[in-house]
Amino acid sequence: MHWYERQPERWRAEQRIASQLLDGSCNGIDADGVAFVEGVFHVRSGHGHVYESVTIRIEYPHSFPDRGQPPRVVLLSHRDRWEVCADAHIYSDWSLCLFVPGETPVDFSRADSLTGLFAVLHTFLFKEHLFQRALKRQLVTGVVPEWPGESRSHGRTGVAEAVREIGKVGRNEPCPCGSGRKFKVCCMRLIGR
Amino acid sequence: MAWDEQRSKDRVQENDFGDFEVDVRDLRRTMDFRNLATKDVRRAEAVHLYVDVPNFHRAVEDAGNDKQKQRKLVRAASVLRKVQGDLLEHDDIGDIQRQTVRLHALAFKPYDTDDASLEADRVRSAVIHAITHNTYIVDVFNDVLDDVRDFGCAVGLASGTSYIANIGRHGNRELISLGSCANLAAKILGGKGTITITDGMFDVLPDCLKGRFKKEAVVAGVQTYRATGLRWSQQPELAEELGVTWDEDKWRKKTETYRDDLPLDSIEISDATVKIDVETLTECNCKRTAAVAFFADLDGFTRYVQEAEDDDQVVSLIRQFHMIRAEFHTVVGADYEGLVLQHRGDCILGILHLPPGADSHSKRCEKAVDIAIGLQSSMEHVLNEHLTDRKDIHVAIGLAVGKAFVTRLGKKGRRVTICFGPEVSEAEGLQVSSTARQIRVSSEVYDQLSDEDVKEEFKKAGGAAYVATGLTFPKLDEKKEEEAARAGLLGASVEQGRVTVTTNAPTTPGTWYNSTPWGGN
Repeated sequence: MHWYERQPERWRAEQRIASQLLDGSCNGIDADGVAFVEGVFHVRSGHGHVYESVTIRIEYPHSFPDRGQPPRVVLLSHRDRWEVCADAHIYSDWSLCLFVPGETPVDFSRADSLTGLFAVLHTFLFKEHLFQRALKRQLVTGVVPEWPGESRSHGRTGVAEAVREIGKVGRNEPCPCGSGRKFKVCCMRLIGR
Repeated sequence: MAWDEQRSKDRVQENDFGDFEVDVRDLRRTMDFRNLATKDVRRAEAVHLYVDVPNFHRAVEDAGNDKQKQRKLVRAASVLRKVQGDLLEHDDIGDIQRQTVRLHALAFKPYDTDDASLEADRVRSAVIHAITHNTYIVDVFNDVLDDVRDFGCAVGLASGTSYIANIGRHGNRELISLGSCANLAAKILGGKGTITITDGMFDVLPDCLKGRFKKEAVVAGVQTYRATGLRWSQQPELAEELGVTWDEDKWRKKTETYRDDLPLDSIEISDATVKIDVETLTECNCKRTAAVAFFADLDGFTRYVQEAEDDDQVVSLIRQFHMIRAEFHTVVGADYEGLVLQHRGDCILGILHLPPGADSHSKRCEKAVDIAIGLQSSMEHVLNEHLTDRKDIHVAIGLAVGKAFVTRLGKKGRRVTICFGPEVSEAEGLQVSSTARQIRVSSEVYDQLSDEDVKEEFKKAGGAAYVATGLTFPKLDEKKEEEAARAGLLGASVEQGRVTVTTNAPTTPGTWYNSTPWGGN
């Protein structure tokens, strides 16, 4: 049984929050049984100026909301404007790398966790807006852009940084990398406790 | 509350005055001018007159904070306003607006019937009225109202086509005129005792008047001519030649009657401790307050009015004017608790006097600068999107802080709010020297700004003023938010279906979320 069948109330809560924050929001279950919501998300300044209006799709893992696997956020728009690269924190499938999953302050066991995810997404997309602008300028100035603000290193080094930041991760806890496996059988061996 | 782009967009979209009925016709009857409904716009071939007291700011300085002297000044302004109305009626000149002691009038008779020779008649009667005004102020008014500094008189006149509209609500009459000749008449005003006219007017003057004017400066591409010291009492031969009978005794008696009808002890002056309710003010109930005064002028609008080739374009411009005006009122009143007190054509005069008290001086200055940034933001990011092909309309704003005196003069339904004070005049001067997209503040306002990002936008300008160009909230936000993102202080929070952004988020998790992205496996 899928999570949204086990917890229909929670699924409805996700849809309600998404409809408040996404223009033209829609939701459904795809052929692989993955629940999703999608729509246009406006990245606004403190006084409501729209920096970017991006179309996103939020896909929920089968194990949601357990085992430290957060929803996956995929960019559906901007593929003609923005560049995919590791430093931009956008994967080649246009999914966004918002955080090391185990490090996110969003508590996905809470029914309103999607509001937290949208808050994180908002800051991420604003930084992405700045980064992509700097990428374009690089063509003229030659200055290699830096991600505005803190970011984790690529790969397991980044997980190690996150583990150091968290302080302690139990052997049997979900691995912070978001694999869904236990820490002891995933990244622990590679980065040490 | 503060300015918000989405809210501003919603407001403008909801009420863009697209359905606002506007009826443009030629001005053919006095009744049309006197009883103009809000939907009516009259096209007038006429002479615009600005009659000003160029040393009024000195009289305001004389009064300072002394209540009795302020009473005398209110009485002088009230008497002058009343007699100005009588003089206009006597000479059959239309009254557009009487702003404090500055009068804007229109000589539109004889009506234009495509007969060019009629322009000479209008010009003649307008110049005669200008001389009458000068004579009255110097010979009668200053003598009767001898408890205030002697007023000077300066008149600026320019003729051409303009559009007269009534923007007064709830049955009030508040006329504005749109057109470059109206602006020009104000721009060419000279010093005490001067009458300044345009070259087009000079050309059609009768010879007896022509000889009295001398070539002056070129203003806005127009050659001006100026006469100084023209008074019927000093030039009786001129009065005779023009067929003017000046009855000094009659006007003296009238002035004395108006003065005696308003005893000084009937004028109540109190300090504003809560938001001023302008509707309750009369010449006997005046308010004074510490405030930031601001003037916001639409730059470029007049040019569009002048270039309008048909009625449809005029209708569209009038609708846009109402849209801009409504949005500006909301920014000032609803977003920041300011007061719009007066319209002078496409310029608004307002004050921000809240929160009250000496302790709130810096808060008022910061809030007033926010009003200015809010007006610029609405113009540049919201209104211009609705102006379709007219995107060259911008706003220029001047602000100064000090004491302001607010009251209303005139009869019910035709009352006009007046506001004066040394810094009110200073704010006007700052606005006049500003160009499109600029905010110019006095050094006193600048010194009170605590937000370094805002302060950084203002550069030292001539005199004791600072000017910011192109300063809007979106521009300021981007600067602040980029800095906060780099410093790890950017945060977002979602409440009631709305994302809120902070540039000072605590580093420990709580209400505010930030992103620390990862390169992935």
